[in-house]
Amino acid sequence: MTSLHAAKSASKVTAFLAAWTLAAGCASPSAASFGPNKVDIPVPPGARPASSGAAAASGVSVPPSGVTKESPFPAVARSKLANGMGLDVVTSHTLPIVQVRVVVRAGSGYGSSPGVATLTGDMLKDGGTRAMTSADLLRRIETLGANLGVATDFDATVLSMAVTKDQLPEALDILSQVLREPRFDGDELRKLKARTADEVSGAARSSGAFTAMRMVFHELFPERSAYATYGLVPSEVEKVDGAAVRELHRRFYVPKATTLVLAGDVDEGAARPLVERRFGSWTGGDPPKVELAPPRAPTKTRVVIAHRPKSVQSDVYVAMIAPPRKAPGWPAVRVANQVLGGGVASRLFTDVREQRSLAYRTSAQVLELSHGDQPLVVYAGTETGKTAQAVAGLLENLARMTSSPPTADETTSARRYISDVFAIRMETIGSIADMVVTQETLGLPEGYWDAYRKQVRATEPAEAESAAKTMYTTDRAIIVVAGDADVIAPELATYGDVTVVDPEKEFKTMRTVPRVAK
Amino acid sequence: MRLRFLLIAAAALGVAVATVAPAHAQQLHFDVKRAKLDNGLRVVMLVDHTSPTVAIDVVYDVGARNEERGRTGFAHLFEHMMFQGSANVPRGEHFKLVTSHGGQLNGTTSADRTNYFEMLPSGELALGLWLEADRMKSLDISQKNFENQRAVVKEEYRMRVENAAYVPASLRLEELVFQGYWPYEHPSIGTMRDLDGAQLDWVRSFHDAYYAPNNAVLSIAGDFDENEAMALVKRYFGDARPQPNVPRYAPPPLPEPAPRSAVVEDSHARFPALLSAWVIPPSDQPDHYALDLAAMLLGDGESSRLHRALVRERGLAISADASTNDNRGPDAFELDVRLASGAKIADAQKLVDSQIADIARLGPSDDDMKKLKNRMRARFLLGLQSNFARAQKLAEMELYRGDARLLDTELDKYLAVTKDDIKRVVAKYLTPARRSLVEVKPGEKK
Repeated sequence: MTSLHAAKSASKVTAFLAAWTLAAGCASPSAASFGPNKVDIPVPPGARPASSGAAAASGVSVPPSGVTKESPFPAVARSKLANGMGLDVVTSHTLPIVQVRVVVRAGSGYGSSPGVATLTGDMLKDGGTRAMTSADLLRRIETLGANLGVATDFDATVLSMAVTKDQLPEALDILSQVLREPRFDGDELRKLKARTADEVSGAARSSGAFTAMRMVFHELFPERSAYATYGLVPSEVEKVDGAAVRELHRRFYVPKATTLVLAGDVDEGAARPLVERRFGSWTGGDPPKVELAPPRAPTKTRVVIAHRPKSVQSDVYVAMIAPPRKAPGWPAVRVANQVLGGGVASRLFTDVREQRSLAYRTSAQVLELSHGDQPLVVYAGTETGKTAQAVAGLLENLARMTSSPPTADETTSARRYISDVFAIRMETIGSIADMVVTQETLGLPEGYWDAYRKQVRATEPAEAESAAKTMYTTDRAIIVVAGDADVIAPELATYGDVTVVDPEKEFKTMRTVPRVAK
Repeated sequence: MRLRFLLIAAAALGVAVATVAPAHAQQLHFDVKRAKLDNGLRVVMLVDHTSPTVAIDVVYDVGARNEERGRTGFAHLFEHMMFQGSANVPRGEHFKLVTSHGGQLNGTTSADRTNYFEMLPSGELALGLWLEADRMKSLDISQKNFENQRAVVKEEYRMRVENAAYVPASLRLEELVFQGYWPYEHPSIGTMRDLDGAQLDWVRSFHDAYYAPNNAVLSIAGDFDENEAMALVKRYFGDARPQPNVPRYAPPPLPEPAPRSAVVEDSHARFPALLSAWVIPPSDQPDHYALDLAAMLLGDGESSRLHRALVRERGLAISADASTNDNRGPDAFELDVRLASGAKIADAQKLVDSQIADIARLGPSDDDMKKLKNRMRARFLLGLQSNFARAQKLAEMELYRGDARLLDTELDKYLAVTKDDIKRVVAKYLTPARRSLVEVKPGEKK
């Protein structure tokens, strides 16, 4: 449901923010997910029986299902080098391609100040290596036909490349130098900081998603938490210097905090010596402990507006708290969230978009983190003049999740979608590599995806209802809106005290509006 | 089948690593099956049992290029109406049926075509075909649903155009470069005014005129049996009535290119930008392959000419991209340079011009050619990994060029491009006299 002409242009606009924006789409070939390469998926063995379902819930006669083979998650050969560096190998000979990922547990808030970890990750590529200038490095990588991606999210920095099988030794040569022998050239750092400052100040004006998400994390997490800062502002970029970058690299870029993931046309027997040769002599101590303080649950509903003058549309988010990613009840959380806003059959899509015509995009998402409770946001993008109606629509649907909990049909549909869509996402070896990265980043156990899928399929409506009651606290939510405060603040004050911030002045408070009675 | 494709692909990639491959060294083969029903529906199928999934893609030969003046954006608005119910599928049920069977779906509208697709577990092939056939044969429309989708599309317009930095400038660039050539001069998302003016009765007429089996290609890729699939296709689509009078697409003559320019004030943009475009031949023409590689040379990757010069060395820009639109008809070669704070448009323009002039004068180096061809191989193969990507590419080849099997030779055409070809096409097409320019001026927020 996309018009491609405009979409093409928009993709250029948002390219930089790929790792920092919240995907709020509904039905897209690319999965909506938070953070670089975070994916949700699973699978068990054996053939799944054809469903009898010759009729939909509405009584429509549809063709009967055939038999679909199961698609268990491919085996992951996990090992460690003597220095503690992890090596995960997934073998698939379907294409002569190897997807390479390096996971370094150096999240965006791990440095001495916000931005250090992100710029350290970027400097691995932009700053050159002992033997190569930045320009030489980029040309060498790109002459292989590859790109070196570097993405830093809350829990890790991930380097990624896709190469043909016979280029793997050279790719590992390059990655070894990039990780172990970065040059951190001072002039390149100066240039990178200038570019980054421009990019983040550009995003502060142009991206409602960025400004709203910055405020969601700011409002939910205590300042000392490594999860408190989403994205960057220019003064944070400015503060980062070469010493801080080198120090972060020394402390966090160590074998024990690093896992190399190889997925594709390579097996462990061939990979191990290649990796030993290039990473075996890498040394380093234990990575430091990081303060990952959990979010503060809101005690009452309040409103934050990231002011976007002349914005014709508001990006409306209602933020609450979801249980930890590794909690036993996670499958029920996913099922409940799928029922609420997980796609084109969800309640939000059906009501807020298809009935009330208030939005093009709606969603409900948990912003996944490796430790502790996590932010949960529901979203609608709506015409400025209908912002209060959209907030009402979101809150009503949230409330209905407890007053009219997920039905048996809704639960069945949600769990089938969550479990079976993984086969579609696993069509490419790159997606499989990213799922292993997710496992490593979030600390999910061996065999996780298959076990998770089994759990999803076994989730009962009562469990989804219980998860909904825990999460959807409409009387204690933070409503964050990126939009024109001059127009929308008065109406939104009926939901709680309003704080208006100016994203272009580093989110400084512009004014507050006390709550008014409805 | 799968084995055959893979072995040959592996050989191709092996060559790619070692050296700049001669053109004859590339031997891609997709074992595509083609068929045509009596009602004119063209069917292309590509079996691959690697994943237990299947992609179904129905591509109609209608897009924004078919729209009349005053009706811009209607092909896309109509696409939304195709999800509002059909004879046997109540409103909302299409979404529910696909997702409750573990699948995903969507539709997209471009200037050149409109597609509708489902990605499903392989055991649900019949469901996907049945759903697509039902809405090809019938559409359940009402004023209420129409108004609802008009409002939804207007929200999409606000999101993608009015509230998006640099996008209005990008649309203005298309207007300039295709000035006088209506099919591509106007945006597929339309205008708010035309969306407001759209009428319910146009929906029925549009469906009758264009949504017929003889005006579509059905593409299926993934884990299925060809004979069983064909039996299902005949069962569900066989009774779809052909449209003997599909409106003929009659584009106007392409005006002679001329230099044009505009300034777009953009209150959502923080920094200026410089957008340029030149009309170039359609995607299936030999010069287009060389121009695609020229776009890679200029703007693909951080070691590309423009990125290196403008972003890395001089710090005049935060990004510099080059691309072709891949239009079915006359195409556009476009540059998009987002300036850094304090940088001047004139300085960026001068540097862009000098980079283009260098290529026109000297052409790429041997090292450049090695890089370009390796990157093109990687892009081509990585871009065809998923079932949906293959289904869509095959459908477009069938629709645009008359034979999906031509995909086999597509990579070869890129690999046959020489240094001199790139030098020649850059000198021929990317000239100031043929260029359209849009300067983005950040607007005041208050």
